[in-house]
Amino acid sequence: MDYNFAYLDEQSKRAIRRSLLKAVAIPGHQIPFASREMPLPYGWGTGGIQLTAAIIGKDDVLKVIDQGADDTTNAVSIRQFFARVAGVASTTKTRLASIIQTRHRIPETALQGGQIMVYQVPMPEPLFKLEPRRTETRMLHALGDYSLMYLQLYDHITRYGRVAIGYDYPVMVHDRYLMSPSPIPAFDVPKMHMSPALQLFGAGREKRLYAVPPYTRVVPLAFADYPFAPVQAQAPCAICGSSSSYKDEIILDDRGTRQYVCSDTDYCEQHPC
Amino acid sequence: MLTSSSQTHTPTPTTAPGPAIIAQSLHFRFGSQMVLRDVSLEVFPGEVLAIVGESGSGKSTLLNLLYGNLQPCQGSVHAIGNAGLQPLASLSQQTLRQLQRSRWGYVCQNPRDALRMAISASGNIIERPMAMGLRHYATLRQEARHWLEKVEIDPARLDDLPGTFSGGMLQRLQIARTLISQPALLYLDEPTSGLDVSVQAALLDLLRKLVSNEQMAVLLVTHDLAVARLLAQRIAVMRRGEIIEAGLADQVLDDPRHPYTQLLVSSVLPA
Repeated sequence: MDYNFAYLDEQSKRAIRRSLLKAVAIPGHQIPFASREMPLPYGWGTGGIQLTAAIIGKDDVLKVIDQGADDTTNAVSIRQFFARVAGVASTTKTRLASIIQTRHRIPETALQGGQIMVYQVPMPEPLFKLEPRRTETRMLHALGDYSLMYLQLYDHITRYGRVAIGYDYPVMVHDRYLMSPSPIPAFDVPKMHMSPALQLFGAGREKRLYAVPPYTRVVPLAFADYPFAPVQAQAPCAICGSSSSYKDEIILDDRGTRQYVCSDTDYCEQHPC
Repeated sequence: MLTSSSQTHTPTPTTAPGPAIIAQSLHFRFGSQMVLRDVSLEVFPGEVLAIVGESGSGKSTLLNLLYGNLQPCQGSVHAIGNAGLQPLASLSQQTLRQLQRSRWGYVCQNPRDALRMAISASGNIIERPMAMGLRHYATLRQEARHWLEKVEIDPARLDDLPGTFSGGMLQRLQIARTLISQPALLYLDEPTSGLDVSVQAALLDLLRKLVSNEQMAVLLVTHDLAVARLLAQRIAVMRRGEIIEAGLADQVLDDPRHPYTQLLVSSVLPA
């Protein structure tokens, strides 16, 4: 059976691109879009796939990562999906990719101008745990009133002595909108700031997309006397020895012996021992 | 109607001598139901105006109009803003919200409606300064402790959740959280009903102290004449959406002119 190039029909892709243009024009602002049914369940990256489908061309080189790895189920399936419906080249090398679709990580290798990051987002609304009403969160965004989120940080410091948000750390984009950076670790948030790459975010189930254009300020929320301080594994990578990368913690036996390895498999392979 | 009586009343001299809020011939209706008819009033800094009347007389609706949550069908409200008196109708939603959480304060009957029950007591108290841009944890914490002491709650309860507080403490917490921004205009909607008598007395005492220290203009809505007598300098009696009698508190309570006010005053249970 033949599909249109990149699975979605041209009109659907056009509608998504139009919303994307709006998203790029208003950094960090959530734009509604007509999310289509995709041949995989919500939560598996339908938002990211639709965005990728809308922007991918025949000359693009696609890299898909899931939790930093190129060889996990989600990453392999999405890569195969686009190989089949678009016939584009794929790579595991961050340097060579023109589009990088990702879940939970930003590659360790610095991004370059011209590259596009596509994030899979489960919940685009950063305030949803604090304010259940969508009408009200829209109002709070419009008024730029984010004291609720600061209240959350305050309570974290009071209870745990630090801001105990490990992933999906709330950020201010272009000094205007509070944005969920998708569930990437807080460790990765500084990579978004002033990145030369275009960053697109798609939430399929929630039917929202948003964007961070190249060279845009992305600043994590913090207090003056409690600056942003993400936690990181202290041990170097057991495979490549890198001490600067983000690590996965792997339990090795029943006695709790553990090992730390790079979560970014591409970076780990290239990093000299 | 109240404007006539306020001419005889000279407000205590303050830095801002004019009234903090003026309402002129307000009319309001819900559908075909007329809720307020030609209500006018003004309140000066350092003065407490009690609005009393039976339930359904339009007290809370009036308070909501004066607070900017509802728009009158006719008439206007001018309230003190960042630059003197401003007509509420001309304020953008953004300015209105900003004023509501800095220059004005609203204490509602049920503290659970206003407080964030999932956030610690101190977090509740410092929400206003944080919304106004204070981003220093240690300073915020110090402020929270200071205000907790000011409303006479044990500072050891600083980080407890409001759910663990008693009803009277919750109301104190709401008052601390409202007064921390030192509002020029305070709206109290039945602040002590639902509390037992001894707690009520302590809370009223506290409120009176705070209000007179800060030279706030206070609008107090209550159905309890004893509360009005204790706190207010002036009283406006409402019935079926109209102010039927207004004047100095002692004058209205001791020498009521309108038959309805006479009924209201005489129906208070003897202590």
